[in-house]
Amino acid sequence: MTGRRSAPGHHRPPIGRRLLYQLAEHAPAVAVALCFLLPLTISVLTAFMTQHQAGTGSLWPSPWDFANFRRVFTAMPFGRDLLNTVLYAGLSTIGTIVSSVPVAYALARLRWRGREAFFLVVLAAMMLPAQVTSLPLYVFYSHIGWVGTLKPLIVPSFFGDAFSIFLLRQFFRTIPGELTEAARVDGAGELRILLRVMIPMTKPAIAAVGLFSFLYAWNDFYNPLLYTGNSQGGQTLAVALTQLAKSGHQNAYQLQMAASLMFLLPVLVLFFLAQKVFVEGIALTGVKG
Amino acid sequence: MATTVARAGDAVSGARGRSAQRTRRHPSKTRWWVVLAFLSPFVIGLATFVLYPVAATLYYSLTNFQAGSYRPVRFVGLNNYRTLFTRSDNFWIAVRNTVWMVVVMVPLRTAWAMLTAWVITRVKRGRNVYRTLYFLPSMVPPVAAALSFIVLLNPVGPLNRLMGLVGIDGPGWFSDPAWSKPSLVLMALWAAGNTMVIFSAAMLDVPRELYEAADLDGAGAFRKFRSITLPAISPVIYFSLLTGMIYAFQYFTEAFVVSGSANVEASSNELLGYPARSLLFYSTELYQQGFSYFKTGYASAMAWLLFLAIFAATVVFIRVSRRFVHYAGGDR
Amino acid sequence: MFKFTIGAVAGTAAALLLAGCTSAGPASSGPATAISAGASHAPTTISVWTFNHLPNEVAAFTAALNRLHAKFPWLTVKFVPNKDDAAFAKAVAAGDPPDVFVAAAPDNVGKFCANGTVADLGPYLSSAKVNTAATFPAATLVYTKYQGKQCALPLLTDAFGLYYNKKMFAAAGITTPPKTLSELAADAKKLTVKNADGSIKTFGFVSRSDYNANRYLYTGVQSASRFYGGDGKATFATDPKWQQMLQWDKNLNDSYGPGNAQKFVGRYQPHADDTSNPFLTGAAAMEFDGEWHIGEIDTAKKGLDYGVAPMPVLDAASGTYGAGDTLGTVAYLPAGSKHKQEGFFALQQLTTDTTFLNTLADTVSNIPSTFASLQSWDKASDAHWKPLVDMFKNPGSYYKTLTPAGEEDMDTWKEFLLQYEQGKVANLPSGLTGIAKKIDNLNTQAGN
Repeated sequence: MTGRRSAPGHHRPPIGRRLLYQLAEHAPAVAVALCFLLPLTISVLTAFMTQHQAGTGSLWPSPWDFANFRRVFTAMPFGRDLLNTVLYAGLSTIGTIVSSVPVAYALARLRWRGREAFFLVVLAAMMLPAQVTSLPLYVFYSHIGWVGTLKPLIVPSFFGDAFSIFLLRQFFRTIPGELTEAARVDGAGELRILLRVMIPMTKPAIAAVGLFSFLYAWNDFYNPLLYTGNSQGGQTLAVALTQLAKSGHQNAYQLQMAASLMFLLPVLVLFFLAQKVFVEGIALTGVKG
Repeated sequence: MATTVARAGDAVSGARGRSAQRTRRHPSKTRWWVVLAFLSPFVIGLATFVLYPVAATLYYSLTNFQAGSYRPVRFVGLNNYRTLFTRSDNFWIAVRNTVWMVVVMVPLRTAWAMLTAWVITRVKRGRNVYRTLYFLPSMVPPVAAALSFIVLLNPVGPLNRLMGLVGIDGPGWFSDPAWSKPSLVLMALWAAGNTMVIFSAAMLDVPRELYEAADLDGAGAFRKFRSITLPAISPVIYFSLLTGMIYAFQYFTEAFVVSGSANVEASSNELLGYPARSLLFYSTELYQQGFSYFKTGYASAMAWLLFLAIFAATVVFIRVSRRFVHYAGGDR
Repeated sequence: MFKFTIGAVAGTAAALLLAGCTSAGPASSGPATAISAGASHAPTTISVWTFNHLPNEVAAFTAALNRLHAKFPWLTVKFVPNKDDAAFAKAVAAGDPPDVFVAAAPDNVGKFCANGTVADLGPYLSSAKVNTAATFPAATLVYTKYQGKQCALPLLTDAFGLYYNKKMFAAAGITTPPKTLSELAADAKKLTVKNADGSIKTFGFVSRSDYNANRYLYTGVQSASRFYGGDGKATFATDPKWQQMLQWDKNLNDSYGPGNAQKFVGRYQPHADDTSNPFLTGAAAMEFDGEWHIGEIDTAKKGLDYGVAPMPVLDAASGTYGAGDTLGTVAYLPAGSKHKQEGFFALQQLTTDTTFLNTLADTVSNIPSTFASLQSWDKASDAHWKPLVDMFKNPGSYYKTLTPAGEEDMDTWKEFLLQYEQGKVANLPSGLTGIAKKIDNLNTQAGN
């Protein structure tokens, strides 16, 4: 989105008036920005407070306690939980892409009877809340001894994710049919067309889908709570953070905030590295598809 | 994961139209075993992780099954459903709280996203900076956001302290049953940046000439909003309300974290939904019945009802809103 | 193609459905007999879960388990702290329960006993020749037994009493702690101090059921009522003392002015157990709490001049003054444990070992739960502790009867109390009839 400049040729008002205009232009935006920034600012400040000060309504740390970030590592197995979170997010992203791309391709480019009906099934699966399926799945996973491990979180992603299939299909449909058709006329098999023609042309889209599924897993609370929330070795950060909040009758707000910031940091880094993919991807999930 | 449902209907109709065209041009069909090879992982996944659980949930809901208990499983007919409707206040409280979120949080969140998007479009220089700032909170993982707000809204915490400076005696926020849901709404507004991005894109897409022409006609700000901006953003409103509604039906993480962590006594024998069940939502009650009390059959009945409710609400919403949504591109 | 899909899906679903619904019986792990302490035994590792999570509590447990290992080198314990009842139930459902589970409160003993989650310790106890009646005080057996089955053993125990600020009492001209609830209410009014702007600086006593441990005020002990009658039905509608009790509660909280009791709960409930606790900061002159509060005061505010007394009783039940709610931590032997004999061995050692019980009692500020450990405990005659320890000798002390509904009956009752306190119950007698019926239904359902 390019900022539209005001029409040229106006005669410039005096400097005082100009400042006033500037103020009027920016005041509401700055006010809203302050609202958005307040919670984060408080969190950051709290992360540097002493146990004595945190949660008391103090606004400014005095003294600054920089050791909270280190203390997080003794208060909880942060490193191990981080590893689990990375494993969950990383492997399920790979699984989602590897398994969803072919399905999306079949829905977008192959011709077969029942394709539209199948697509409706994908849409229905996408709308299905996790709560509806989790009771039998919990029983099933406990029968095969998976509860307490990361398997119930990762393995299903290797069998296709409805949301990703839907998004990828939308992307694939934007590629002109002539390109794949030409390859087909040249005698290329479907797998070859997918790998050599489709994927190279939709890399940004696949990256967006990958980002979404990575973030979904990173932020996911419900599934890890259910399947690994109880185990010693399989905790992910989202769940472990809430249990840190409860360890001890004393609220350790400063540790929670320090841990939350460390949990948030990779997401922010990812966001600034891939801002464009994000904003475009979000627009695509919305009405701009 | 429900973020795309808005487009679901369009995508299907689009798919029909366009594929019909292509079929005419290329009548040849892909060989069945190729299609099967492309689909097979998903077909297996669908059977294992979607269709089987849905069927099993229905079956469980007709039994007294308790996972982990050693007593025999008995078929009890519609008993679980009867208990839900006639004997459980938790169920109705959870329904009421969830409906409250659908009715209050969802429209407010949409309006807030619209308002902040509008604020951004008014700014000429530095728009991208503001947009990034407004969007940033929506990137914060819900658990971290909830923990932040617990600190911010602590009854003796920073926000009440700040409000005290200007002479306002702040409420108990998450600790007060009257304020706990509004506090969650505040949190939802804070994280509305992703919807804001879509709104601002739609608003900036409106050709400037339309407004200039309206100016020449002497139209006021309200007229301009009603007849130019609103039609342009109506699909976004539709999208935001629909996805928001589906999300609110399943509202879980924030409620779970807040009612668990704002209450130190929660580690033992404490109901989810603290304070005073004001934060007991459908999904948290389902979780509690299914995975704390392990009344698997009973919770399965709840799960089925949730499924039906979401389905019915979505159909009704799509039907009703069809009349109000304007698609500029003639997509429909 | 689509037909094929549906066929495959249906087939898989049917197969999985069958697999999912076979409920396996408890794992058998040898006969229900005890291992004799002197015999040699193959090296075994068992897991012990507890709800405890504070560093000092965990340290006390670890030390005790190390001593156990030194005494019986064949027994190694994998110790896991910070597990509540829900976590335990989840582990059971996942088919992988610990070998011993120590729970914070006994509310689920009835449920776990009735649905077979935990083992009946009877056979093990008789094989080990442990006479429970001679080992554990009667009040602790009330909440560890269900329908004659000893499904848990007490591991430390709790008693609840009234904490009062002596300096504030003196300033208000009150010489002895109240003995009846109307005296308590009168004292509370005298002790309440307002700020210049009309807001309340010090609350005399807030009895709201959702504050701190106050829910235990409403289990029947304070009015000599039984939660369940002889027929197993809730007595809220049949025993008029419930109504008096609740009216007393509402009148007291309303006397602080509209919204003030709510404000108190909202502000202090999140800090009930930390240094911002209102009794410690002077925002409350009296507080109802368990004995661990003594320990909290010792660490957080050593100089506080306070007294502990039995909780006053309803005027209509004034003869029972001195009784209190007694309930405590319980230790279970999960039925699905793969090392039940070894698990019981550890459980027996922990629940009867005098040194361990006394050390742990000192660490977590609880009351030891065997006759032997109470005898040798140095705090039993301490002025703060004595009224609480004495409750165990009072025949009126008890905890409400446990049912297969587990903690749900108390949860349901508590929610009703809160609704009444917030003025949402228009007609108390019919409200009480309704809630009694609801709880009876809950128990019938759970018993099915």
